[in-house]
Amino acid sequence: MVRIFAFLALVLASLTAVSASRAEVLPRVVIVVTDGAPDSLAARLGVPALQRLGLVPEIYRADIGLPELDGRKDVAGVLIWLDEGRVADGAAFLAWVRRLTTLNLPLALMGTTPSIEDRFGLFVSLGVLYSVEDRSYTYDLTAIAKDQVLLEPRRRFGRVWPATDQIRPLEPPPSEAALTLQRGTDSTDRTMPLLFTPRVAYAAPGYAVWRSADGKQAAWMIDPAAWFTRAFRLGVRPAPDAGLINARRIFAPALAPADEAAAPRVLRAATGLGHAQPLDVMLDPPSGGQIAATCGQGARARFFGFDGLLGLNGDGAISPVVTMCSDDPETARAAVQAAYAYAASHPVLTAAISLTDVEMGFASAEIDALGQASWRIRNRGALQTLRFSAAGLTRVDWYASEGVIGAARVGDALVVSLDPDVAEPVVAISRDPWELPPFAVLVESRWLVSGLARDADNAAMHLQGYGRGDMVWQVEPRSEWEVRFKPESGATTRWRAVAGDDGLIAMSLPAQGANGAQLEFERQDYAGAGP
Amino acid sequence: MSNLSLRFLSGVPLVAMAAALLVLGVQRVTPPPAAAAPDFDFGAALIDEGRMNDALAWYEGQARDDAPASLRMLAATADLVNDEAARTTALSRLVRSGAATLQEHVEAAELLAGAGALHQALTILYNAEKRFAGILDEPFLAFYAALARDAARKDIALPLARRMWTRTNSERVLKILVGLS
Repeated sequence: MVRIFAFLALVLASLTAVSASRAEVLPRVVIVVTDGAPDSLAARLGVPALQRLGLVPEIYRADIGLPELDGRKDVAGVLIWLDEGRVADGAAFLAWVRRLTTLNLPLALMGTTPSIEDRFGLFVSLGVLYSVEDRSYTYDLTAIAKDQVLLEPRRRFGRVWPATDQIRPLEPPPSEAALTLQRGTDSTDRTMPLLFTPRVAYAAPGYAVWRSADGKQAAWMIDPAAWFTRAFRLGVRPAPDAGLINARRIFAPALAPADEAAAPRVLRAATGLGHAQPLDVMLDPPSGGQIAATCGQGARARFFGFDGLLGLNGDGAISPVVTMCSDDPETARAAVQAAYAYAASHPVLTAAISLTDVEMGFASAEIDALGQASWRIRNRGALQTLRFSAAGLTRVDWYASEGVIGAARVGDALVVSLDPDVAEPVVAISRDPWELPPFAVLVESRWLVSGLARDADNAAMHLQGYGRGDMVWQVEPRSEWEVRFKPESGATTRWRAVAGDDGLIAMSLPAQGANGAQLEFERQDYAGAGP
Repeated sequence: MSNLSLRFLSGVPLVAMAAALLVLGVQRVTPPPAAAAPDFDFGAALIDEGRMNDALAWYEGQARDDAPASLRMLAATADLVNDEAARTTALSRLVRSGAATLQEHVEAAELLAGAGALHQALTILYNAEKRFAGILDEPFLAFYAALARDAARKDIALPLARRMWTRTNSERVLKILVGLS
């Protein structure tokens, strides 16, 4: 009998240990339901905003079919964003939405209201009271409550609000309106076109996104990061970032030749940053933005007045696509060289990076929550950056983190750089007051940094990159270091570096990192060793 | 060949050139006005490049003569740059030009009413009533009536409400009519 009890106790103990060690995998997939063409608003505006939050959109067409989500553990939420309201089968759509609410999946409903017979039933299932507004005019509507954080991040509403139906929450206390409009002075005549209920984040048509009359232009009227964070109850979590490495935007120009024979001539000429560089060749270039030069448009070869064209003002990687004709290599060559000149003079990352690999890593990355403020990253491939948006005073907990090269502030975000040589890094953050990291940490770098080994007085790593190796490290203020740089095929060069009161060492290594290099720091004042 | 002949022969080309100079050289070559490519829109190119304010200035220049197409482009660009005052002005000019659609009348009136210019807005709807008598619908009447009420000129919208009630027997129109009476 005693043996049986002992056996049961052992089994229970092992089961407990297994469940305790099993980390919770953060769901990252967002089901995006749209009815439009590939250039639908959901694809143009929604998908980039979701990716910015580290989420992975999966797009479905409501007018074709809806996905089965039972048993999906990787789904963080569902975004229904229709441009024209088309659904294949109204009753089936309603049943699908009701099923989502029973699965307790966070839901965001935006864009045109789905064209189904039982609209009232749809909204009730989402905790919203909906009725058609006969008065299409809105000049007499006044905002009496407005979420200043969420609304009007850039573009502002005018004095005339978009026409809206009557929207109210079914359960007022748990629901929250981000915008309440009142008609005239009648306090009973109100509508809430931006509303969060326990089951849905609802934005009435025209209240989340402005769209020009011809449909070509569109702009957010609300902060998409704040909107989706709240809609999908994301809380504090690291967001994989496919646009940055070492706190710098990835610079990855590509060439789209009309025929393969023309490409080598441009490639041979496309040297810049002190070394010939690999240039992605795209035989099937994407249409739309970031096309830097096209046949017969020589002016576009000198494209650096066109920031919008190249996405220089955006968030992600800078990846101009230089298109060319077989009989016009000069235009393409000029554009490529202009691209390199831009990269040489701006703080971007210029290294042997394949954007496709980074994007694949973004999609495959799995994040295990190890606690409230610690995460393990798996299967991330070439993705090397995690971002904490609106980080405030959040900082990296260096003692609890593994495989983290460095961290920096980019805008209001805390950007964490991972070591490419560490397969499963752990990132831990803290809101405790700032304290000095126990070793040298990278702030930003033009080159890739990998295989970092360090302690309080030493750091050694491998580098690769084009152009000069501009980088910034954080060390103890007023500490002294010897820096040793050895290119792949070259002699070692030594410098002495003294950190100032800010504890930063900024260096610009010679442009000899194209084939790789080694970099070492060694502390010289031995402050860590005691008096 | 005599010296005189040589002088004569070498002089022929010179004379010809002088004649050509007299005939052609003094004429100013006036090329025909360079017609822009019909499918090229400089304002649209500026918009494509993200230079919205430049595009607005361009269309303002284009719309100096109140050409309806230019005013429409100006209104659309003002919407793009979120310049409500410029959009209101463009649509009002379009209405005054007589080329505005019913929807443009309504939009102009909404913008003016939103800016507090109720009487101007009401005037535009009054003109719309006269210009588009055959296609006015209940939403138009609802807006017209609300504006007339707020501008303390219910009498302006009353005739239309009566006519629509006679024509449609709609309960909603009756409600508006009662509100105006």
